Amino acid sequence: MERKNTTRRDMILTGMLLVLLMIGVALANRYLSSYLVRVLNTACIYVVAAVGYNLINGITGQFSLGPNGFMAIGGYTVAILMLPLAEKEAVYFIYPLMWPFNSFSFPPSMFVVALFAGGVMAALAALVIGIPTLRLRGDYLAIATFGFGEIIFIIANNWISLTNGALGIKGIPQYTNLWWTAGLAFATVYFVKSLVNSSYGRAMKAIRENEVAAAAMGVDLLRNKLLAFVLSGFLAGVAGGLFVTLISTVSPTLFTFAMTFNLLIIIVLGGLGSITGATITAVIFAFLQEILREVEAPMTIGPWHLPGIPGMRMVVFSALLVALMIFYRRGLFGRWEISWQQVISWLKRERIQHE
Amino acid sequence: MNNASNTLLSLQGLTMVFGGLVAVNDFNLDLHDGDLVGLIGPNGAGKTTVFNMISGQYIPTKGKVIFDGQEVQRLMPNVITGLGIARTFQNIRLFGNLSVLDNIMVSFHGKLKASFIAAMIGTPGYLSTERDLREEAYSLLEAVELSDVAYEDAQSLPYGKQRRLEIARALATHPKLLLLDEPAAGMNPYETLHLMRFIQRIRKDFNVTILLIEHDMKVVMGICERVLVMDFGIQIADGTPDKIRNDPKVIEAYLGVDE
Ligand SMILES: Nc1ncnc2c1ncn2[C@@H]1O[C@H](COP(=O)(O)OP(=O)(O)O)[C@@H](O)[C@H]1O
Ligand SMILES: [Mg+2]
Repeated sequence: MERKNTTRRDMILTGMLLVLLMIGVALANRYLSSYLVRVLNTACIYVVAAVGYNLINGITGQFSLGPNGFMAIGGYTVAILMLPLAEKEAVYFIYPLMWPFNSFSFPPSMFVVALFAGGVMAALAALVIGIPTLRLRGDYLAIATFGFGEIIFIIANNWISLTNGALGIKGIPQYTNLWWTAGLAFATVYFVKSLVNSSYGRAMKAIRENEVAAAAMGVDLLRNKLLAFVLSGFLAGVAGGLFVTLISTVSPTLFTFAMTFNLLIIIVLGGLGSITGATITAVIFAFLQEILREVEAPMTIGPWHLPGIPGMRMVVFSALLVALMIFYRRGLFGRWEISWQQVISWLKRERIQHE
Repeated sequence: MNNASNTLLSLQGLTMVFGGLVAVNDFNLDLHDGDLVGLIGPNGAGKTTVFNMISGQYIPTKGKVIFDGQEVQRLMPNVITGLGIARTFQNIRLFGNLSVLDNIMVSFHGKLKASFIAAMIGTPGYLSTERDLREEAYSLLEAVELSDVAYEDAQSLPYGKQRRLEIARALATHPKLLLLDEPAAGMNPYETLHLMRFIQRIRKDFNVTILLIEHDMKVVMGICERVLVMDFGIQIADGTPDKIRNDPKVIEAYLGVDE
């Protein structure tokens, strides 16, 4: 009885949070500079990708290095579907875009379909990589997904009639806005969280904790690893699609291994396996990346003039990661998760103190 | 031994070769419904390897495992568990970072009907299934006197309780046959006594057939009706505890490797 009431209460609170988020988006669109809105968009996209990545690496304990490849697939899929026909002719001037993509273009109203298609293409790639490698124990997945990212990079560079090669695709309409990114970040967190709290999530965590015991308790290892990997690929694909329609361009260098490295930093910083951690650190990371742009600019400190060093941000992030691994091995949040129950007990404690 | 009852498990000529090492050689055993049988032998005799072949972790080099009339030696471990064989491990293998309750609930996953999508959306139907599972797990914990630690991490439990949780987790798969691999290892005499009573109790309450590997002779002789002895991968004796105790071959095997 009691439990039933708490589920209803949690649903209402989640609904209220969604309304708050919508109000926040409306306010941000109206009052914040377009620069800040862009950073917020990036933050939300990182949330989608990081929470998805955390599902396979942190929850299921399978070390994937694939998100950049999946994001690239999602990104190119959305770009090719959404690019207007006139742009298609202009952009693909070396080789024309191959059939059937040269003959149609999705109208703006079908943006959501394109995003879904981007996710599905990435999920299919995850399935193809996952079936042979997730059977094996150990580091095969890491090696295979790393190789996959490189293969996608080579395909993006060389299959010119599909991807336009190294020039990339420019002029993608900027459909992504804060409604889409914040909405999908919210949906991602909600769905992944309820999955992780379900029997499937327990099976995934059991695999992380001890594969032999999980199998001996009746858990189908391959099936549950695949479910996590494919969903994680899907979310990376959607994130990639959002990203290219935010910056309105895609090229092979957009989704290199550096992207996976960023996401790895986010989920490790947040505490492998913590959705709360991945969400919060994804947002922090997006802002930190902007702030740290400063360290790449030329600087004058007293008598010394330092030239700008591109890539300095990654040095800072890597140092941060190393420091964290030494002093805070479990990440900022460990495996901690926020729940409505906790929020309520905090609020109550707060009120008692005030009275 | 009740020969009138069904043969639940039949091992026929089981053989396991690792490289040049014959770990188990032509091992035969019939278990009947309701049996409580001990499997003893010096370290390295091949006892755990027999368990690994029954539970599907190893595919035997030769021979058959027939469970409930069905050949299972080529099936995946999770499928075998689904058919009704559950086990514990010589080196405890709990899901350390999961709560005691969650450890139990993992065992329900193999038989879960709800779809992945329903679980991800958190449909009312799924949430009600989840509540039922939680209640079932909690009553199982009550039955094995672990409900006071239901929400603690499994890894934080004292040793004796970890052993008990491992048995409870195996029982949660609703097995017909329970394989216990040295459940008393590392226990003090008091804990061992408690464990012996516990094994006898679950045998009745959960209606399971038990095959028990044990090093501690007191345990095996105290609760088993029938004992098998292995040495160097070969079965060297099979009989009642009294008969085994006085078997010269058994005495020699144990004295031969005496430390
Ligand atoms: N996976 C394996 N690979 C190689 N040798 C193994 C493996 N598993 C067990 N063995 C060997 O088989 C023999 C029997 O081991 P085991 O069944 O664990 O003995 P027991 O449980 O009776 O102490 C030992 O010599 C052990 O080293
Ligand atoms: Mg052993």
